Amino acid sequence: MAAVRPGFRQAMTWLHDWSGLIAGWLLLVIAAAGTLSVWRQELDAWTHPELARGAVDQAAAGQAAVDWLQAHAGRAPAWYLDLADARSPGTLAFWATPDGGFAQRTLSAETGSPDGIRDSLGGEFFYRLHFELQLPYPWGRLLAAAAGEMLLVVLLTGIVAHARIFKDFFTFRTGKGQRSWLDGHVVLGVLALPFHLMIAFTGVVTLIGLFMPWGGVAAFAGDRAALARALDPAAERPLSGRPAPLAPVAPMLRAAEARFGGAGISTVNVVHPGDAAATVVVAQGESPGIAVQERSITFDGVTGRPLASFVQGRPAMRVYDLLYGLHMGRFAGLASRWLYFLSGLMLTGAIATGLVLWTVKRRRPHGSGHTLVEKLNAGVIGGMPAAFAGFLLANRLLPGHLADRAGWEVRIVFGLWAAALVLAGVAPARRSWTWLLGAGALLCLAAVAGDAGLPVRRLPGGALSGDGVASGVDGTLIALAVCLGGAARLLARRRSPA
Amino acid sequence: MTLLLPLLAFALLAAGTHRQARILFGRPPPWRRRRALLGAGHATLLLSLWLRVAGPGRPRALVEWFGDLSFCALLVVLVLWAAEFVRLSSAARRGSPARGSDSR
Repeated sequence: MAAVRPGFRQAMTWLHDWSGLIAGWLLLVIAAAGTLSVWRQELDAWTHPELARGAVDQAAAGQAAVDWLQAHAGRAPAWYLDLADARSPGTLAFWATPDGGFAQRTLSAETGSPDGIRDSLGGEFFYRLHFELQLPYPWGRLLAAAAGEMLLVVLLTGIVAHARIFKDFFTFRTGKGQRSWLDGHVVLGVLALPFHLMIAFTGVVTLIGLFMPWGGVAAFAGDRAALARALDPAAERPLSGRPAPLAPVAPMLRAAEARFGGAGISTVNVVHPGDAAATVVVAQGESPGIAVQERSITFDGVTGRPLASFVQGRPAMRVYDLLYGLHMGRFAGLASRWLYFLSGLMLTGAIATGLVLWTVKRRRPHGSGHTLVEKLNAGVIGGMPAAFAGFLLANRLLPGHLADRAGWEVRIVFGLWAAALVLAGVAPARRSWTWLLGAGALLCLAAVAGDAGLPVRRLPGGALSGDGVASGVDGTLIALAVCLGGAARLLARRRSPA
Repeated sequence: MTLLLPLLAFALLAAGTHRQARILFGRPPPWRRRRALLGAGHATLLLSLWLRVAGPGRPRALVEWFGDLSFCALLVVLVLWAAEFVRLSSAARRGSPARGSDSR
């Protein structure tokens, strides 16, 4: 008898299952880190409790930062500053080091110095993990872009595979084994489907210049440098070799603030400081619209005179700015950011339940492959909350004088995750899930305990934003601990398999 | 209001489906009532969209509307799950065999 060819829906179901499995663990990390990045600035504030919270005089903060960099990184070819504002209490400074690497420090908005401020990546860790996966450029970004494309395939095949998408819209049944996992996966996937499709597509577009550069390179006859200049036409000048002191930047920043209106300043780049050809490029902060507004003013670094201003008006780039703005969500107010966070949690949950469902559907022994997937699920999914909570706990416990303190916080994350994978490898799946979820709950509570009693510094006359940071982060950790602890307890009590 | 209307809309749509109507009312709705509930639910969704984008900042309001939908739909799903859980638990305590919403 001839084999029956699978129909279109069956083929899409097969593709959904296998593309979801292959990319699932990577997508889980990207989704979870991206979800936490919604609160990047708040996590920065939480992980740097020494920094005063409140409204910031950006011109003064920029001048203080430049003064410190002149004294401690005067030979760097450029300084890149993510200026402090009401949400971010510190100025993030990057500069190239003589050994070819990059240094990053958080500087006080008041003094411009990192002294007395614990060295930590803060929310920046989750942001970079989201699109760079803690891998060197460009490999991390290429991998993230590939995962984004897989997510689009998974979402579209999932829509086709789910025949009763409207009839089962509200269906969620518990205590029914495989059906419950499928219901949970579908609810989390369908109810925020517009968000999932948007975030996957815009995420891929954000990195498109890296992994699909051929159109742009062809348009510039292979001259990648010309392409880069066309994309980012900030007025740069070559090094002159003649030393000249840098003019005070505060007047330049005030002039830029006046031109930008209420948008404020996002970044300040000082190129060739101490040279006669120095320039100070000041970029505008967030606009109220969805699209990121690319607008900058370039000042002569020696005289402080404005040299050029740039406003992005090219239609193709404005489309990119709109898609990028949708992905970043910087336009969002507090309520909308909570909705972005909730939708991100639902995407993370959909991926996690999908990975578990893959093994539950194939519960009968299938050999080493099935066992490997079960153990990877326990280690990656179960270990993730413990690893991330470990980062926050390490932020509170590691001594301030520790060399490469920020690096140690990151090593602790991956150390805990590796330990979770080892535990999942040696212990039966149900037991390792129970222990890992329980450990995650305990570490979340420990991080809250580590935060308890820390005074919140506020700038004179500042708003009460500092209270929102502590209550938001600690409250979320407590809620997560309750969920993880409840799940661990449920698993420990259950005698029969799901 | 931005959340109340989508919440009401999804509640009406849920009440118009067979499975959820069994949870809420013990039996699936008659054909006419089902059509009315589904129609009212869709109309309320459209009304919530219209009210959202009627003010300034239309593109941003549209994005926020989708976020409202996800939140409200999830809330309705959780309430329905809790309602079925309570119904089955109380039936088990009374000792009577309760039928799940998906039993035939």
